[in-house]
Amino acid sequence: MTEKQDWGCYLTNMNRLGLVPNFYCSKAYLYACKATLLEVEGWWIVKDVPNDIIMLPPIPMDRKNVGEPLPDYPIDIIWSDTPGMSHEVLAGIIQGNCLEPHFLDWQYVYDPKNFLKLEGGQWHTLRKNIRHARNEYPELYLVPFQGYLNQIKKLVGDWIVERKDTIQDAETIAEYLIFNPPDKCEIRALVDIHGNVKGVLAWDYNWKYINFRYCITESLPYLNEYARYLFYVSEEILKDGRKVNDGGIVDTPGLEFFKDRMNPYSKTPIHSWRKKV
Amino acid sequence: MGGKSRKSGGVSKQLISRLTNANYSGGPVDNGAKSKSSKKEKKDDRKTGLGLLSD
Repeated sequence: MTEKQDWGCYLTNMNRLGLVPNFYCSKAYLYACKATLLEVEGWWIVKDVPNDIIMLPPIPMDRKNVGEPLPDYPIDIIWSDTPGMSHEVLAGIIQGNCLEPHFLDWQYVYDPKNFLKLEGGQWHTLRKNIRHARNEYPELYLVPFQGYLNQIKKLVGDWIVERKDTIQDAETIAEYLIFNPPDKCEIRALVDIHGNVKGVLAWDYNWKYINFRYCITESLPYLNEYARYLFYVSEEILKDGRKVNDGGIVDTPGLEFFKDRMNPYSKTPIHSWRKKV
Repeated sequence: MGGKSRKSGGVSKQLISRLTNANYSGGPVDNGAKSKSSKKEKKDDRKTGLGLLSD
């Protein structure tokens, strides 16, 4: 068995096998959460070593091993499956480990083109809120983050600490946006005309999706919604052509309501696989 | 956006200390603006139905 942190091998092979990636499948995210890639007898395994958790489905290096079971390697948890691998296939790969699926989170995918017009009844609330936001904040811009690093770090640091009892994946957020931003990500500051940072947005990529990783704003009415809207209609996102994976709801019912209201292109369940009880 | 914790939610004391010691939490920001109070945030939550759902 060998270990490395070049998740490109895993992600490239995933693409070759025609598997649809989930929200955790990006070099930037796997770098920020300090995942390790294991090579085990012809299979790739992405692991959170400190917590002893397999993060993604094991996949074979060679296409001819598709459908074969993973060689003897004990697995207690697979943190997240992917929409492109059926439960039957994954169960076949990890047979002998007695794991079963449990709902983890939704995966929301949006088509940026749909945010251009906001026409029709299904866009009523967002359209109204964006109008309010434009009145409240007539001059806000998404700009490269480099000139605003201290303000961004302070905004994110305060945001994390204010939610210290309930926030999820805080260590990764801090690594990604404060301590050690990955090379393979995009970070923009949301600033007013005086140069005050009102929010920070970050995204990264895999071959199929733009992963809208974080949208953290000051807690002002309509501001977060407006920041998301500015992201979706920005030239760089629209030109890219890929759809946007906006992740899930992290156990927040209000966020599910909000994301449903933004008219997703698709909403797919993601499961963790755990030992049968 | 955002991901779920692979262990229990919340923030470790080590991360809080790291953020505080680096002056990334608490006190004024560089441009002099103060962070918003939690009371204000709760009010905003009710008003927008979104509020703190940044993730």
